Amino acid sequence: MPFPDDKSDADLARAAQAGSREAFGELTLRHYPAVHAFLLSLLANRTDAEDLTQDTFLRALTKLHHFDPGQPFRPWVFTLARRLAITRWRRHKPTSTLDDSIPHPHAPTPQSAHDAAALWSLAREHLKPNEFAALWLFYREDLPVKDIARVLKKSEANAKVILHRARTTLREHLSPESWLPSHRNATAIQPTS
Amino acid sequence: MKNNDPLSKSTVDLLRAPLPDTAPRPGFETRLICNLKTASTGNTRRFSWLPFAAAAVLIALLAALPLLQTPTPAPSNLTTNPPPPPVETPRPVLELDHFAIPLRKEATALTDTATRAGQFLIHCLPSLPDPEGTL
Repeated sequence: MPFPDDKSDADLARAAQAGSREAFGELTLRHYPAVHAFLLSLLANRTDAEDLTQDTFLRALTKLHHFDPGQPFRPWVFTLARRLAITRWRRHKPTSTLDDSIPHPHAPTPQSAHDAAALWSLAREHLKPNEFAALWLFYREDLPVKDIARVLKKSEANAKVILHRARTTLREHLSPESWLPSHRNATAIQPTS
Repeated sequence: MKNNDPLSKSTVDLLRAPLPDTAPRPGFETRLICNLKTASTGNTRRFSWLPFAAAAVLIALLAALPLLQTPTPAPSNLTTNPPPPPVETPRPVLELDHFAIPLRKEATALTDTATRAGQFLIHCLPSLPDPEGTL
């Protein structure tokens, strides 16, 4: 591997801007799993998520000269992913749950993972794309509100409002009997072998 | 901000809990890296039109060079002749069988029109000042 792990994203981005494909490849390897997980949760379709992950990094490569290496790379690439996902989302909003569209691994999955998947499905069903993205970036990516605002192309105050609205909306729709797989009829969301 | 979270702690824990099988399918990583290697960067794609544009501009300049070098008369010295009354050339008397041929009739009409238009343009276009002052 030509780039050791101790190289920062900023160093890799500078090298990539100077024309190093290896540096951009290393950046891709570092960040594509998070981008893929975000897109998979948003779109609930594995093929769409993989296609958009690829499109995201291809777009990142073509827009790399716009990237400021002084800024964190992950929010920037999430910005590109979110735009592509929203375009796809508007074309056909996903309605199926994650469990319906994704084949489960043969290894046993803890019940909390199924509950988490169901909760994110509920969020996807009831939240707007911006709200879902804010919620995901805050809880799964641990991004600060400042970076979430950058991804959403909003002010920091506006991002806080979006995040608060997302939580409130989610709480309003939370009723354990209605969404938790562990509390409801198992046939709808039990993993398919 | 986390302290003001309207969601309960158990819900927040669930939002942060690992999701089942969010990893991409095997082979995706290889495909992604291969596609990135074959893709062109934004800079090369962005300025790929530049050589063509430069060549087009160069050709246009070379084509316009003779026109740019031709001296044009000063506008103040331009004189315009008033259009003379149209001169009607006597049309030759045509025989009756002459009109019987439609194409010949058409040719005669076009010739007359061209003659009138030519005379009009000759008299209306600005002409260079006469150095001897005969006009």
